[in-house]
Amino acid sequence: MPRPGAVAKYQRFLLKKLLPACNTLQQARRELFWIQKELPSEQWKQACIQRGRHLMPLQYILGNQPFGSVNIKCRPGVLIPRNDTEEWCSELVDVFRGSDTFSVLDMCTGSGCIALYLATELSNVTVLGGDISQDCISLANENIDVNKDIIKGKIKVDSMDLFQPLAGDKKFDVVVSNPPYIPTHELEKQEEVEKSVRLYEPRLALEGDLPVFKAMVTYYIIPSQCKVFILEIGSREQGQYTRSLLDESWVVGLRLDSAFRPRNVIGFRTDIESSIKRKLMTTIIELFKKQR
Amino acid sequence: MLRLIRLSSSLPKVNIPKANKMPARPTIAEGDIKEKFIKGGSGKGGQKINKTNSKVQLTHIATGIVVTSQATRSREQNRKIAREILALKLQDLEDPANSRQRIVIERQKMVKARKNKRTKAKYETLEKNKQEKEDLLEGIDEIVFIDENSEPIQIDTKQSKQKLLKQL
Ligand SMILES: C[S@@+](CC[C@H](N)C(=O)[O-])C[C@H]1O[C@@H](n2cnc3c(N)ncnc32)[C@H](O)[C@@H]1O
Repeated sequence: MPRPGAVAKYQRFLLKKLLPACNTLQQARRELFWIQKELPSEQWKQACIQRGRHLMPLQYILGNQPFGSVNIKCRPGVLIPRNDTEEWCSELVDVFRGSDTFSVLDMCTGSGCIALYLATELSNVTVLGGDISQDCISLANENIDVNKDIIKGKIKVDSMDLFQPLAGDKKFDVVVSNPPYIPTHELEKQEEVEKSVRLYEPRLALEGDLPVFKAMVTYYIIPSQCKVFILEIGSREQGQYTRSLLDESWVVGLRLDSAFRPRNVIGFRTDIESSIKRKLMTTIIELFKKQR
Repeated sequence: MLRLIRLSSSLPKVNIPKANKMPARPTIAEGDIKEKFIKGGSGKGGQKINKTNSKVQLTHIATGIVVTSQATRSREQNRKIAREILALKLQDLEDPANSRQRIVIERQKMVKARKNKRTKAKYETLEKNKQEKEDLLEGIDEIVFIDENSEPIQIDTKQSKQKLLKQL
């Protein structure tokens, strides 16, 4: 058994290795704690070096990220679920809890986190996740399998290209998406995008701007005849632009995240059930006006 | 003289209350609290940054008591832990005599004292793995003080630490 002094010294050594990836000492202590809790001791040192020196995302090292009550497997090639996304998913679930059975398209599903969040919280839902990347489809399927015991609704994932019209004449009640929304010129800037994100997460999952929202509206939101959509955005402009593509039968508004940044564009048709309308309105801070 | 020495070296037997005989875990009504998710630092959020922690802050509206938790990687877990901590604090404030927090801490002290005594007696027979992990946690506490310029460390209260220890 190691002497307590030796243990403390080793802890300090590991902590020092981790520190460059963490803003504060407490954060490094937390990450070390999680590494030691989740990985066998022979991997601790390597994990701390990968994280601290090479800035590898902790979730790729540990292989997972909790997302609501879902555990999402993570690996390079697929975007790590963000807690800004988790936040709006939890609000969305409250909007639809207890309503009639409805169908959802989760476009750009990635790890499948949004689709799984809905399908584990709601029994009245049928979700289809779509993504262009085969890595994403495989991982999303694994994530469905990992969480099969807590899934209450129905869930499936399939290959889909955002820039191709919706195949067949599939209809959905709701379209949700966290599409790639970082404009190319921001992607390379270190003051815009965290280094660890730029180094390790797939560009395919990050890079995009107005054309993404145009495809979403013209190929998916309108043809699917959905009544509600909620899309994650990176700027207010993306929300305003989305509004400009829709006619007056839509109410379209902005949602802020808990740090008061523009985070979603939310739209609904005026003829939906009034309780859902009311709940959606409480998440909207401001309505986008259609500019003429 | 000899008798006296003997007496003091063997500690009196104490009756430690059973863990399952503790006062019930208090709960807190959702209407009594305000919840906030704290995003540290600046930055644009969303896809541009990948946070590993998820800090939950609760304010008890009537008393203004604020607690936070970011002990686990799961926001859901942190929300639960923060509620437990707040409920314990409030109970301690309102009814100190029957406070679960106080009684549990007292029990922990007794258990620890007994353990120390036993540890001295038969150190080697302790379950090796468990002890090692506890030592590692102790190690983490020691590190709290290495950097004097850092912000003060917030240990997410004894309870959640005990809980984490159990999970280890
Ligand atoms: C920001 S990630 C979101 C992943 C996941 N929904 C989440 O919230 O963590 C964007 C996803 O869009 C996918 N994607 C990029 N271009 C696409 C396209 N043309 N068609 C479909 N999916 C695309 C990427 O593979 C990536 O998984």
